[in-house]
Amino acid sequence: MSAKKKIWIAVISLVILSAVIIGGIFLLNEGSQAEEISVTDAQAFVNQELDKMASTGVSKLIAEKNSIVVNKLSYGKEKNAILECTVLTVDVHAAVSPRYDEFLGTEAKDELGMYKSRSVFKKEFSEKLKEIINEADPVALSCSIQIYDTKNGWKVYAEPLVLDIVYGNCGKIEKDILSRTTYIDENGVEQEIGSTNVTKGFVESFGLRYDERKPETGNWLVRTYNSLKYDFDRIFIQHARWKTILDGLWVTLKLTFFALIIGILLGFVIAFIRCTADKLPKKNFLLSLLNIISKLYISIIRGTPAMVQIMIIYFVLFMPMGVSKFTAAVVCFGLNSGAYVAEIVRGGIMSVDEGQAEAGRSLGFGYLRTMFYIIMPQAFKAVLPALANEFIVLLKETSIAFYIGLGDLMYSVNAIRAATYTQFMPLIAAALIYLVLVLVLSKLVSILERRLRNNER
Amino acid sequence: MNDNKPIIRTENLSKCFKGKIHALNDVNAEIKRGEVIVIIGPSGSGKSTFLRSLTRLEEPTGGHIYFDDIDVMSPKTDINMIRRRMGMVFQQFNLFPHMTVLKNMTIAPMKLLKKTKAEAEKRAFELLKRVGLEDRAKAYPSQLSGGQKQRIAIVRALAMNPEVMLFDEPTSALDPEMVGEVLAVMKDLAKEGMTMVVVTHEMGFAKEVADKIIFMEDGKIAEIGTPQEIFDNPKNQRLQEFLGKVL
Repeated sequence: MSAKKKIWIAVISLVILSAVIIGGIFLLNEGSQAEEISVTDAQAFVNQELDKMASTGVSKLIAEKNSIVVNKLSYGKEKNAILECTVLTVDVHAAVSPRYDEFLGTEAKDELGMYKSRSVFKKEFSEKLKEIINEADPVALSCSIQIYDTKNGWKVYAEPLVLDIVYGNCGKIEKDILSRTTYIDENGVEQEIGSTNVTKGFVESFGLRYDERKPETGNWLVRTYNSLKYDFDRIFIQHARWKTILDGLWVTLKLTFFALIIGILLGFVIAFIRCTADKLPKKNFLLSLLNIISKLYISIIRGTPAMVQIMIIYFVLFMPMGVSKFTAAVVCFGLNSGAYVAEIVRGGIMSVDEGQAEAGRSLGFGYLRTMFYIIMPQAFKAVLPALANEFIVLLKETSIAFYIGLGDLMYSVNAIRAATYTQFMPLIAAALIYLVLVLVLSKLVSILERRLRNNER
Repeated sequence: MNDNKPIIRTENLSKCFKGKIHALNDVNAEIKRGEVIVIIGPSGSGKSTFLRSLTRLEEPTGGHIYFDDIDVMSPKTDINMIRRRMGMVFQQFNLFPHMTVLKNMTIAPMKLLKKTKAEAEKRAFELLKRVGLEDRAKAYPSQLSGGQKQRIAIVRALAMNPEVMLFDEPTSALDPEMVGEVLAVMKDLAKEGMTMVVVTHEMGFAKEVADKIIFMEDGKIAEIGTPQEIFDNPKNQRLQEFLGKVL
């Protein structure tokens, strides 16, 4: 077989390999968002989404096809008690989005992706709400509530901001719909809501947390222990939130793995192109072009923050095309780490003594085979520590996928933070998980490194 | 085989760096089968460039090289096929540090000549035995002395069964006490009738082994002749000065 044929075979197999990997990503991703949901499937889907939301503790919503159900909640006359609150429940579309900000889309955010001022947001929120209801198109939104009952000692967690908005701006809408104030209980039976019968059962039918107060008996040691146990239980055990963390961890690992493969493939190919273009005595048009593209790619990727990149890739490119967040994240981190790997590998190739290439060529090895048998193994060994470092950075950097709302580890942790109003435990848990992952990765690399180095001693 | 037919012939071989400095300037040389040619000359005279040009490790900018009547410079010629037939030994040894001695010697025959592992290793052990290093087959280059490395580099090139061996200052990077062992291997090789082109500063070796000595000066062949002619009766004035300094 001639050398040329072999190069072609190598190129074709590389293309096939890339196709398989990219295909794999598309298969593994969590489904395209443009996917249409039939009405009958929708109910099941909604239920599933609602369960998910319940497990993150945001709020459970009562969904009914093609209708808007408004629940009015009144309770208490004490100082800290909330007197009135309207819960708008959702139809299929809104239920798909667990959070009102997703429902509102990016419109409520300014150029920096931050919410506009509270009043602007409130105004937009209520206008959006009016619009929805006026159109009678069954799109509504989820609201979370927070109720403190100082008398009976239970607590419902939710987001006060939303509640505020509902209070402040939805008065008129409220009146129109109050005649229909009902809610659907767990068995799917429609129930009237009396203004005073707020019960544990009612609260839980919304999937909201109904809590006993923190135990406050015993000496300080017992109290601390009980308190920690209580928090731990509340943060990780209830609503099976630990499962949320595991789900997030799995997404993080998948994301890192695929990004790593793309990064390595891309990095080695680009390093190869850059080195070959620099070394080749004669100018080759295609190679020069590829070299220029590679240089441009590397400077762009290295010159912009990863967070900007992932936002551009998802919100500008992929979201309009209906590509999933996961694919967007894999592509983004693959491209990102590819640029760094390319420079690391190029450095490695250049660090190998020129005499090695000469020796290889003098024996009759062609350029590709010299690279493959002689230069690359030495370059790889030289760059392994730097590559390992790059992969550790990659693993940690995937946490910014949170900014496009991908349900990775950081996203789960944030959901728990939002649902439980705690910072310490969820964040420490995230830190510990990342730390353990990195330690395992470093260990694996050091074993590999030692093996490679043993070869020379 | 016709002894008079040159295996390597160069015609007006030239090499300019950046269009200015002529590292090689119209070099015409012939190397016959079985000949040992030693190239001497002051540093910067183009000896190494000439040697490296023969396998196009250094790309000549003009002229022709014929190897066994094949035009080496022609774009149609597969230079890798030519290089298989020319062994090259470098000043800096250039052994592959990530491979054992045995692997260093067998990788090219296995990958290029499609020899089986057993065949390649058998041949490698024969060669190692010849240079007295069969016990170092499993060692890595970093575990060898300079002289051992260079001997391995020589047998690595020999493992491809080349028709010509090119030596680029093979003893210049060695400690003085190791020069002898490498030269002994080269002498042995010359005795066997291997065609050799040697760039060296070892005048004793040149005198003893060379069939022909080429003295290069400023990228040109200044004088060419047998060792007797060169050493006992140098005509060129620069050669006389050079010999006066090195001898």
